[in-house]
Amino acid sequence: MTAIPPGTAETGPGVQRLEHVMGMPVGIDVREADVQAGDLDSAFGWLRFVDALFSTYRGDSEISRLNRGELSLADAHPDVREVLDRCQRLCEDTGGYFDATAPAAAGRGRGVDPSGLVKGWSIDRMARILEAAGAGNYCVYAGGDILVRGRPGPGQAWRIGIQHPHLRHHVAAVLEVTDLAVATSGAYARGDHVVDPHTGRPPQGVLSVTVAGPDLAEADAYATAAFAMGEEGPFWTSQLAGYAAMTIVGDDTVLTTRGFDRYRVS
Amino acid sequence: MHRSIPAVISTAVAASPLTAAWSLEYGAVASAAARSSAATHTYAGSRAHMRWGTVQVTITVKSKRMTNVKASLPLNKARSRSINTRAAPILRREALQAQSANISAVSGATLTSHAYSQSLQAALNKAHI
Repeated sequence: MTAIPPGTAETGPGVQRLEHVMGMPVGIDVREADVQAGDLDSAFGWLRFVDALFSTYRGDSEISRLNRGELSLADAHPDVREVLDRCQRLCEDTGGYFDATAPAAAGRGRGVDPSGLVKGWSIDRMARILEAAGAGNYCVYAGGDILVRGRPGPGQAWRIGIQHPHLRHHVAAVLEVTDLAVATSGAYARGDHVVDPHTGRPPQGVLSVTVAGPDLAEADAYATAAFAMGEEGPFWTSQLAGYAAMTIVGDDTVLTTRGFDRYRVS
Repeated sequence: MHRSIPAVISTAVAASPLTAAWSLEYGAVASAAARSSAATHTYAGSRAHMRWGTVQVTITVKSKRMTNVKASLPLNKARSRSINTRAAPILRREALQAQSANISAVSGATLTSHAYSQSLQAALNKAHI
């Protein structure tokens, strides 16, 4: 059994479901009496639609067709344009450390790979679906990203752990929050998958960056960028407006921005 | 096409879909099957290519249940260096703690890519489960 006891989703009103979609496990935990299983169908259906539109692993996705020159941006789905626009702005805001470009097909220059933004963006949009169905109290887990709204029960707050970099069944900090998006980028889980776009190499010295704030897409992009910055990341996160951060460094110290303490209980 | 991965793993994990999802990414929780005396087999999935390396998933199967999942990637041994001291005045520095508290969900760095899913699927196919 896991050393971290699960939240008690099985008592009280609400619906819960886990599905594997967009290449990751996604768990939804809604604590409302009048949200039905069918509403979760809509939520997961949205994620499957997003996957069909954006997945770089599907040859028939709009992103893949864009990268092969078979589809023009003007003819693409408005959501594709919205995501690519946000990627461009985030690339500028992060000095290029959030990078949604990718090696393209031969002779076509740089392609696009907005996967890093699509993950958080699709969950932010999915939250609107849940809210339209009447959910004001829920927690969503999607591939290490978390979005919570409201409370798990009367007088309670959602307790979120920040993964310990070395000990699989432990956490490095605990947050108690009611409305927050939390995203973590790092290099400990199963090896490196983030590199500094400027050097092409994994960042040095930093094990993980967690960013918390109102929007999951932004939190995720900022965590990715800050992690790619390596030792410059913590200082950069302290300058983010509206977002707080916790960086775990390779010498087993933790650097937190002032705003992060607001969320922590341990 | 896509097999229902949660249907294979969900039998072994905890009650909450949030912590079950986390378990899927940090290693499947050992089920009762793992404690039996039945033979253990490991199956390696295909080597799947992702942006900055290749990933290969290996699963351990006992009594037709998957009891462990491991993914291999070249690991970066982060060198411990002191962080730029100009960061000190606006950041708080403290020691890393290890806690195992009662929580709803864990935010962590995960390998969320289809390369991992593809390799995992190949390993499941080999194990015929």
